[in-house]
Amino acid sequence: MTTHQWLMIAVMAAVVIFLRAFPFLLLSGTKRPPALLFYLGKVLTAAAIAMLVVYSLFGVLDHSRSGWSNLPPGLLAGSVTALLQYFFKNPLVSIIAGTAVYMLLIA
Amino acid sequence: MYAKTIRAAFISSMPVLMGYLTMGMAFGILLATQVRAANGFTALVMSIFTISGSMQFAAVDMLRNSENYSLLLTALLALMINIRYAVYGLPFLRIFRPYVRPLRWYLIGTLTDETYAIETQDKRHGKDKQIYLFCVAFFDHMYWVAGSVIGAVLGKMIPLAWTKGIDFAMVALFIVVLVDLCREKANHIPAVIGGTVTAGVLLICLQICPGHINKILLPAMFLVIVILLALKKKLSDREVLQ
Repeated sequence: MTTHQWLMIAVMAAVVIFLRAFPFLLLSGTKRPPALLFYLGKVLTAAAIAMLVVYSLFGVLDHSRSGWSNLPPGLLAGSVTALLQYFFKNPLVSIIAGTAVYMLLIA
Repeated sequence: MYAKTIRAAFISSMPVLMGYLTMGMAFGILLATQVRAANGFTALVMSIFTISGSMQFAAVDMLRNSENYSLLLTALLALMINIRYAVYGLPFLRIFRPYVRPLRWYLIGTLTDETYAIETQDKRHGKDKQIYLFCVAFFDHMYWVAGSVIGAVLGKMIPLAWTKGIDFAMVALFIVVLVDLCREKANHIPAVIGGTVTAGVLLICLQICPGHINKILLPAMFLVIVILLALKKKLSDREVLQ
């Protein structure tokens, strides 16, 4: 682990702790927090995770070396993961099965 | 004297036990297989201080490509992924206020989705409530830490030769988190916006500046926030946001 990586870990932990402490630091018990905060808190999580799905999938495809040839296996394995999670709600099973499908398809 | 309360807290935390152990293990395995230098100790530190699944899984990808992430981008992404926590403390503002400082800060620092769900259900009062809240927070925290360290140690034992394509596990994980989020209707439109904007920015960048593909997350993030803010009225009006 490089110093930069440890600093990244520290920054992420600090941001999460700051966010959890936010209402206690800035809002008094009587004041209502801004509605915008509620709105962003509600919509940004799903948006951010969806961004990470697309971005990390692109990273895995290794486009610069293999072009789009890994895209169909990636989409297929992604669908398998999503369907398993939707119906069985077992994260470990969904992740392992989806990853196994991908590894087999590109092998 | 408080044995009954402690037992009640343990029983309340039981559903979280399996969830946190397995999710924690998934995190540990990913961290150990994706980030070469990471080990059980890295997982331990991250899980003690962060206790956020979505944050820590995103962190695996960020740590693996750490040369692409400045501390500013790291902070902005962390802010975006976890902004929901900024409203979690609200129901507890008055409840936590009289508590002694270490207890108050521990309870604030451990407010995860699951712990929050259990603690908001509680109807106890006084000292009894303090013990109960602390125990629930502490048990959940320990399940998460234990799971991730076990996972990281296991992950270090997997031979590297078997790992071609294993980085898909990260994508799979984000998909799992997204599917669970999308069980709530309010998350559908934000998810679609986040996904399509990122894909769009990626494709445009591939055409005009393929060398900078690793820097698209920041502009995509701003675009998503701008669109979501522009849609605020519409999305709130649809009563998808309670």
